[in-house]
Amino acid sequence: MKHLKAINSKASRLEAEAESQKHDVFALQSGRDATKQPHIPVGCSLAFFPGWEVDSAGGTAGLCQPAERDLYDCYADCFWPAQVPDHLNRYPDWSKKCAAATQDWRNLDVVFP
Amino acid sequence: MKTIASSIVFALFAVHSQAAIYLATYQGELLTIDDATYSIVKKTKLRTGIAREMILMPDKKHVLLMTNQYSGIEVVDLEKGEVVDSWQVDTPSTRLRPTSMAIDPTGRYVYTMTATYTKKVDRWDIGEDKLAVIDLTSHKVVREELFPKDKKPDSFGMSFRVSPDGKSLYLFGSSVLIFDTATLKFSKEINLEKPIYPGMSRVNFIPEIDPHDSPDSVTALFQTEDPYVHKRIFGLAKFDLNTRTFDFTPIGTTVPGKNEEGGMSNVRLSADRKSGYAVASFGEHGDKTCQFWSFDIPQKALKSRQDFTCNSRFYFSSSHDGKDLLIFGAGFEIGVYDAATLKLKKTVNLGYDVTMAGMIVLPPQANQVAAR
Repeated sequence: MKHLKAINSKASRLEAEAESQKHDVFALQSGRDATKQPHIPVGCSLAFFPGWEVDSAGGTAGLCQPAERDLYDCYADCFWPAQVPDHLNRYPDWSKKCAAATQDWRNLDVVFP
Repeated sequence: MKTIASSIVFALFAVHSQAAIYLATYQGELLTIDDATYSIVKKTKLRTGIAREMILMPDKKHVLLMTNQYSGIEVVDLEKGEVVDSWQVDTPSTRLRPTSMAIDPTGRYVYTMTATYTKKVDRWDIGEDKLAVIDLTSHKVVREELFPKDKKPDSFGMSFRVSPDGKSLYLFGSSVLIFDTATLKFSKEINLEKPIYPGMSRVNFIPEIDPHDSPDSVTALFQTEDPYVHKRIFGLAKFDLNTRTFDFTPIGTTVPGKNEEGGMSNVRLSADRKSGYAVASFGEHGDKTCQFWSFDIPQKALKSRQDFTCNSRFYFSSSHDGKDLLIFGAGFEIGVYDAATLKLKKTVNLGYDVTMAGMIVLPPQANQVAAR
């Protein structure tokens, strides 16, 4: 319910500005125009593809064995999200001590945002 | 002293004149691997990050790489083993993220697919897909054109190739798209059936990886379907990059004797182009099995098959002489298989996880001996 009403010109301008920004914010699952580009907030990810954690069938049989073989390919090259630091933007040296994930995973750093 | 100096020069030369394999690692390095012993002979540290694309330049003395972090582009001199040029395409508020690339025959321009990601106050705006031309001399995007909306590129990228005359750009994906290099306008489409194995189809159309394929054509395995019974058939095919003609010879039904899931890798040719090799996969996830297939190219016939234990995800290549078949990717190892028997010879531990940039195999550089 709208409780505020603009009664002077400045308030009207603010109201018009807020109204014009409305369509920039919408629920991602809403029935919006499919031709519009996805609105991806900074720091968020839309991709929920199975990948490093589970395969396309929801299990682990399709993952590389061991799963560490897929660690870098999945999140660095394929841009799939995983519970690892952002190697591309904020933590480029996160895995510099771990040349081969299967062999050196104990050397992976823990980061604290 | 003169003898020692000559020996040193000869030894250094010997390293460079040997056949070599190049792989990019997640440590941001380009590995130079001796093709005969599979030992790492050099590691070249890249300046802009981890390579996700790499391609041998037309002079066969340089490698062009695209890196992940800030859309970096680097040129490595293979003889010197060092980066001779590098720059970043991204700005603090934009990401270009070029994917797939091909170099024109002059070696000056690279054709790639881009989408500009613009950072706003609270979100990223994703631009439309574009074909772009980057001038390797000026380091700038000199031409770009919107990708046709009704020809959306494959989600995992398409393989690019420039015609020998430099006038046409071919994009290999679910079909062959042809663009005019001068205008980047779409000119023609050739429909092809592609293997259904997810993520493998793009490997079929990367001719630069195979040093034995003709520079004027692409040899690959294709699938097709007859229009009446809809029975799937696969075969060997050759696409002529000059005439744009397609020569298809059927060999058999799709993944014969197995279920519908599975597919074929790219085909690798022997040095004399009389034999070809590919990997066939059957099933998926826990039921997945793999086989090497060898082909008689002149007869267009399947010669033999051999089962082997394969990872869920891998790449397939071969040594410069075609005597070894190589399975690599998704990890730090190279499986070396004998091309004659299709059996495992050894497993090489590189100690570095390799990226999805693929493998470059370079035959011995005989002209270096003559120059010295």
